[in-house]
Amino acid sequence: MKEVLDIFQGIVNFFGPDFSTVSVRLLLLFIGGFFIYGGYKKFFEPLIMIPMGLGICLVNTGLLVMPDGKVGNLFVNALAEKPDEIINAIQVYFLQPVYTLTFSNGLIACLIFMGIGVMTEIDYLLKRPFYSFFLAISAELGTFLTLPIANLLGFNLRDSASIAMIGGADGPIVIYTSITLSPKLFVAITVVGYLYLSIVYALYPYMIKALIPKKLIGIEMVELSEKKISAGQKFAFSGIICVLFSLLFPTASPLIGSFFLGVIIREAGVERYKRFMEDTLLSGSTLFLGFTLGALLSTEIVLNREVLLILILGIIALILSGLGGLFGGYVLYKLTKGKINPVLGIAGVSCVPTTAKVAQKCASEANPRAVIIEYAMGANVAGVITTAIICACYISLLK
Amino acid sequence: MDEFIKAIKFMLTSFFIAMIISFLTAGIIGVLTSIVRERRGERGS
Repeated sequence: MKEVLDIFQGIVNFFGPDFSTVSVRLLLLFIGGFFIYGGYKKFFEPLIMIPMGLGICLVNTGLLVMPDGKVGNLFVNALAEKPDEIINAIQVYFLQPVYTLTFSNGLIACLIFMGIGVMTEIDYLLKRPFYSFFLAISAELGTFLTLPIANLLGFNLRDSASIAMIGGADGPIVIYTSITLSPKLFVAITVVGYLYLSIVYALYPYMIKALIPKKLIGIEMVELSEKKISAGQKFAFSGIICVLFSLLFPTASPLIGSFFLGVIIREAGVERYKRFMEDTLLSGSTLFLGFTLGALLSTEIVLNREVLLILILGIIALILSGLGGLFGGYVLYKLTKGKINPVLGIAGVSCVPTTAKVAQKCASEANPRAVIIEYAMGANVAGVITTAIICACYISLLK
Repeated sequence: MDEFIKAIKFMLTSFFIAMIISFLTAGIIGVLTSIVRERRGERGS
């Protein structure tokens, strides 16, 4: 009988400990399954949620007795800190090389940012820089206000800043900030961040419809296509802005540099690098990001009161950012005497290109002739830059 | 309470820095774009 139990030790260890641990494991299995189903049905972002969901299911079922006598798994040990512990962990845990070499130094965020950079068209930002940055800074309301709110709820300043970055709605920046400022809460903050980022597509249209009259949602705007920006101009601007930001914010230089490396490769027309960054690098990084994050979500992480608070604060941050963006859009609408569609404000939330698509979708529903996607993409790209600036401020002030 | 005041200070500092840098960037982009456009206009005439 013992031999049979040794073979099926996953089942024994799953139901072995106390009732509360088993309940949490079952809950996590349900959550993992829900993420996979949501990704399959496309109401969650499938690229990230399917591998994350599977990772959660596997890490909470593949339980075995480790050489030290404790129940564990063969996925990843996020607690290994000393060099000899890390070397040992790499021999045992199959995702440990990915975690140690790409998560703990923020490389995974930078690789994803390179991929996003190479897919980003900065044309629209260069055509309307002031509108774009105004909307972007307005849509950072959640990133700013959530910091003191989280602090009031008992988080220290570093953790509060990491949680507040969820309001910036930019996954790689959330990873980079939390791994730098709050390594202990990194998994919870990042998983919550990515979960919410994949549902903003569903949340924001309701906010727009609730806060902006239909007449204003459907405002038609002058097309931007009459202004021509050459590839050379975009290439030069990207280089100048990248170096300038690197000079101003050395702490966020890897992140900003990676984003603009992607933009520069795109504008330089280096097709081989462009294809590599857009397909292989971005897809590979996203796959391993999702799977490793899922594999980090074990019962020890969830059995923590702070996770519930992060769930609440994350949604507060994103709602505040959406409200700020829409308010900014409304201010521009008033300042320009009705020429700017206030819905554009939501695109200041830097979830590229999701929020820009949300803005366009809402405008099209109200008025099929309203084409605002160009302006929206400008605000969207400005949002990425602004979020990176805030990330740099938080890291520089609090590290 | 001290830490909360500190949090407010951090928030305001970050807000003003982010705002200034964002508008500075917009200004640089605006100026450079208009210079390029003017030069193009000169060449064209």
